[in-house]
Amino acid sequence: MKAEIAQILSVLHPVAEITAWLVICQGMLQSAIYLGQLLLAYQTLRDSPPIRRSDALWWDYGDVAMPIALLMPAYNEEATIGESIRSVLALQYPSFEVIVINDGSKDGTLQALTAAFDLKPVVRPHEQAVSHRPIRGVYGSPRYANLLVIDKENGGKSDALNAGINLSRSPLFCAMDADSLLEPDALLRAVQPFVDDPYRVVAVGGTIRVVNGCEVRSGRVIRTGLPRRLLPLFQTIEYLRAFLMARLAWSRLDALTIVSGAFGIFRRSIAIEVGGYTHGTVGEDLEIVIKIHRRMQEAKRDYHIRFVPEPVCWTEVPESLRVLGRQRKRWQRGALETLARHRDMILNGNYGRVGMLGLGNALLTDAFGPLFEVLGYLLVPLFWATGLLSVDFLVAFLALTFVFGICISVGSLILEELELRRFPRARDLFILTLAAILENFGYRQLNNIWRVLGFYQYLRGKQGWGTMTRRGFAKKT
Amino acid sequence: MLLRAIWLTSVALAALSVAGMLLLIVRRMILARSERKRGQLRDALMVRVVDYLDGTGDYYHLVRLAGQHPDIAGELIGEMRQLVRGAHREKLSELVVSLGIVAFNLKRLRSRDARQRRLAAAWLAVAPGEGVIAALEAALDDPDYHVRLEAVRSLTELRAVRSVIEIVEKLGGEAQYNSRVLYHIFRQLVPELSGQLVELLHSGHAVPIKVLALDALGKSGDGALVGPISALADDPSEELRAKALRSLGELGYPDASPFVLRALDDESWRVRTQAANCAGRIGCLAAIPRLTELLGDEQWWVSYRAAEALYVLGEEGRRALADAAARPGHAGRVSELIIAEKTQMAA
Repeated sequence: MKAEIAQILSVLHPVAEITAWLVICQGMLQSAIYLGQLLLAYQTLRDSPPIRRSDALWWDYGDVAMPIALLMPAYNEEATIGESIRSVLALQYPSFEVIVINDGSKDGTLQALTAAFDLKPVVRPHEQAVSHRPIRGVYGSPRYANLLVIDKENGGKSDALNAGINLSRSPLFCAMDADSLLEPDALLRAVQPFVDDPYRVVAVGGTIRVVNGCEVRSGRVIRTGLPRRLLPLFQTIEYLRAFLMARLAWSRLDALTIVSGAFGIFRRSIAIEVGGYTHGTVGEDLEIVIKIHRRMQEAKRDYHIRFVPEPVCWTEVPESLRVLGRQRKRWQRGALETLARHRDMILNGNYGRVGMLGLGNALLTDAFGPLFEVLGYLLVPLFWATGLLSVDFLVAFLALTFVFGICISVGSLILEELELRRFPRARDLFILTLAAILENFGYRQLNNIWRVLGFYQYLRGKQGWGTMTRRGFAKKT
Repeated sequence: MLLRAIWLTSVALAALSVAGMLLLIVRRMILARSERKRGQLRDALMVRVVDYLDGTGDYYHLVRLAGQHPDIAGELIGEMRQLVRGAHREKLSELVVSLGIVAFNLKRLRSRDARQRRLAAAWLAVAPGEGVIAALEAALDDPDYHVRLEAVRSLTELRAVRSVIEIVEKLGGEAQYNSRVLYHIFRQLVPELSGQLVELLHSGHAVPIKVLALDALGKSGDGALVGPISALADDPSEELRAKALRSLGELGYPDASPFVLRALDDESWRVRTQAANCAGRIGCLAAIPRLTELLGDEQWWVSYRAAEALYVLGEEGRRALADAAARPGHAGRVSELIIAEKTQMAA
């Protein structure tokens, strides 16, 4: 028996070693990328012009900012749609139109809109530039000349956005979620790259921040605060890392592969050129950006997709493990769908930095990262238990991995504090530091497990969004 | 050895993270206190400046306060100067000189920190005077694009731009000329420098610069510019032809009709769209037959703008549109929708 065990262990030993090295190499590569992102993000913020006040922006940009159509797909948003639209209609921007697309809601969304804004049927001549499900009616408000409501058959978010693109007449459109809150000057700030470089900039993304814990009144965040629960607090750190560090760095490298679906501005003509949003995908925001990259790179056109850290869109993040897990699995499926669809671009020099850096990173961190990390969770203790792995090395590597994760999160907090200072109290920084440490013990592992499950769902061909349960902004303090 | 290195790295990173955050928290507490003080100082300064404007204040107290924080005083007086006119504005201009705020910003314009130079270049727009203009002109050679841009903006506000071509050349590469911020600046150069802008149209400069000039000239309302702008009718650049038509539409003079009629047949749909729009704006009745044909253009925007133009061209245009609406096909559908939309808007 002992001889048999020894034989099995002798076979397992090289496997253990190779696996351990694979996990270590992947981890080190990913860590190096994070470190690079942090440095690039810092450099970008340092080189940016000082953040101007809203009135100064209006003075400089009011005359020359391009008109924007805000596209707000709404599905079963009866309870909050009126407040959301009122808040959007009050944005500070010289010329904008709000297009709400009721995507075949099963509740009383259209009735709520009609009652709130006194909607009447209107005629809106438009081109059929991109495809979508049939429109049942178009409505305008006698009280708000810049509000248009499209009522259409259900087809999903991509389909609703396509309908909005067809009916919009502005050179730019802003895709946003009906339940997100934009800061009053968000459009004025986000449009700056288009104003500064109107020929080359084709899309701009802004920062998404966590609204849980903030005080919201009449669709406006009037006091920034931190969530009281751990789960949204961890997500606050995650969003800081994702937006302030990663997207800023990729934008500087001209290799940004995603503009958030909750708040992104696109040049309408380019979106039409690529056929609009792709139907039947759960990662429509990633998909359209990659399609734009493909189109522009293949045509060898000079272009930029930018990220601007200051325009802020607030969103409510899940507070329960069940909903968060569903969201993360869906994100993973969306990323994998798009990576698979555009696999010929990955690490392909013909697609420039996007192919080599942006998509190469997506492959490493989004596709393989969670798999390797979960593999590590499973195999390393197993190898340790069977004596194939030294306990000293195991503990040391775990410590290094955790400490590096904390270091990167703290780096993002430092960026936030040095350049933006959105959290009002010193105490908030202390709480966020604690969260940056704690998230490495349990939350990070759970996230990776959800993403691996998302991988599995993708392989099984699962479709659909699931339901996002929201607490609503009205009670949020 | 490897194990020791791993542990040392971990400890170093942990120490770095903790120290970094502690420093930030301490820094935040110091900043919060300093901002409170700055706020108090700003409030006190505002009272003193208002008293000074009313002729009741203690000037020496004001000098002492402003001397402590010339940046706050500069920011405050700059904002106040935008809100007042006439004698009060003049008094504020004198005040920024006598309080040493102009000197402070002239010094800041030579700072090694580009951000400081940008702030100074932007602030100096509130301080007319030869010394300031000379410093801003020198800042046009700054290595930082944003400093140069702020200097141009300030020179424009001070109405001190001498040569459009010079500022265009000093601003830098072609891509940066595309900035729409420059549209705002160029528009302010009309009418004093419209002759130079016309010269730009026929110079060897890049298309984006000519587009800037065309945009500014289109906002001038000067009918004498129809000729120079129409001269771009045969320019090989589609963008220039389209922009010229847009500017002619904004000028609104019917003298542009021959150019517009020719442009309605342009091979570029963007130019045809602008031509249709322009025909409506200048009241070009001679364009009605061609606009009616364009209702069937394969490009939706051309047919839409042609229908809009027919609608604004009075009774004759609307009759042509109504006739087209009665016919089947794309042209009929667009005409019908435009009539419905315009009728609804009028109601």
